[in-house]
Amino acid sequence: MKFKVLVATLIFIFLLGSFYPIIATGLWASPAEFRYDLKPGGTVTGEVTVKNIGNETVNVTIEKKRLLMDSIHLEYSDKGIANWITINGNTTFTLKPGESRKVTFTVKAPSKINYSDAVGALVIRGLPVVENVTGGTQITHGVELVVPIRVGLPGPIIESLELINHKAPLILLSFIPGEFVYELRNNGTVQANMTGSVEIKGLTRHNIPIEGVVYPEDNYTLVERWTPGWTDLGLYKVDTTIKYGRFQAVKTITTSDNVIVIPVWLIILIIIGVVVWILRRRGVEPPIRIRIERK
Amino acid sequence: MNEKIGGLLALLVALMFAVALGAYDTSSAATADQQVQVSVQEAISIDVDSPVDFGNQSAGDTYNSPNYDISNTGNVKIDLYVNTNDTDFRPTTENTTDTIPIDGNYRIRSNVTGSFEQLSTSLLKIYDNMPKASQGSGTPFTWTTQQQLTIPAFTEDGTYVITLIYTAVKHNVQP
Repeated sequence: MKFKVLVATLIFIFLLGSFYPIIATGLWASPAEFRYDLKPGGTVTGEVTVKNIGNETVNVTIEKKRLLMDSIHLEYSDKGIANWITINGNTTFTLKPGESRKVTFTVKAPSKINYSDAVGALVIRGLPVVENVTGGTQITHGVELVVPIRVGLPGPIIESLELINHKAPLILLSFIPGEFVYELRNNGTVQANMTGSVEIKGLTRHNIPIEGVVYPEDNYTLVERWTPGWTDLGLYKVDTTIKYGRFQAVKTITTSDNVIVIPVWLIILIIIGVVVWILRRRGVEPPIRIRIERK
Repeated sequence: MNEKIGGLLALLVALMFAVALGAYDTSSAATADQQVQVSVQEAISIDVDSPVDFGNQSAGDTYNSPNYDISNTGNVKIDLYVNTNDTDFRPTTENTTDTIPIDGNYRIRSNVTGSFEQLSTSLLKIYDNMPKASQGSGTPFTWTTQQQLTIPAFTEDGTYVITLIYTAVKHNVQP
């Protein structure tokens, strides 16, 4: 009897789960990015398709922006390339589930600019058309797709990446991540494509790869994380090499730091040792004694 | 008799082999290579469960939301960011004047750090390099997360709302 009740309950829960509506907000855009080579004063037109892949109607807004992006930040600006882009037609519209729309835009490069590479974007935002809000504390989820528009212009190629500042932890504990932060600025006229690594050398060796892109006039915060494991202990030398260039990474920035890794097991052993030492000094007898005898 | 039938069958097989060989003999035929090309266009796409409801809760405590899914439904790897559309949860109930400030109260579990991170109106990276679904698999790559909200003590009863916006950008694009 109990078994039948259990089976009936499980079937009821399963059916309840099957009928519970799963609502999702979703957007799709293609292509995922645009790349153009323009001459000063040149114009190009592009087209992106936006589709509602969720199961509720969304209000779509499309904006043109300049992208400021690094390994942790993503910010939008209305300056620079944002002013070169024109979105043709409506920038706000509604899409029902499964519905799609083509959006065209024009990029017109200025006749005089002081840098050769620029990255803008179409920022496509979809917010559900909220009809009912019932009880409690409710969060509506919207989605946003960033479609970069990368423009290259002929001009002098000056590759110049400056390391403004960098920070490395002095002491790290096992299983607690440490952050190595590098603040960079592109003073050149072309994008700096970065590769390289953070080499951590001591009792054990670790290698953290570096990759990223810094655009002219942009600041870039590069953050690399390392979490020491059980076997990491003692003094470590941290050598960072950042190679960069427009087409080939031929220029190099290097830094060197020292990090002391204190393992958690060593701290636990020290605490146990200190406790045992204090107890013995005070003459406290241990509650359990183990005696091993030879037969 | 059997020997005759066997011989006939052997002859038939030999003839068929000869005909087949002739059909496939290309020594005197002209050949042409046909190159077929297809371009697969990139698409960026995400899908998120909505809405999330913390339910009816008492003021002065911290609550976790139900788990919900965010899927990479495109064919490129993405970085995922999140921000709020407001600095406070706003009441929808009439005559309610309190708000719930998000600063210090509203967090999301991040895949970048593995812990709950403070939400704000600025974009916060919560997933670095989210993979696309493997080729041919019928289901997109999905990540499950949740939110955490502290409702300040003595918050007026009512319904409070906010909007979270999830932003996807193609991962670390290099020309």
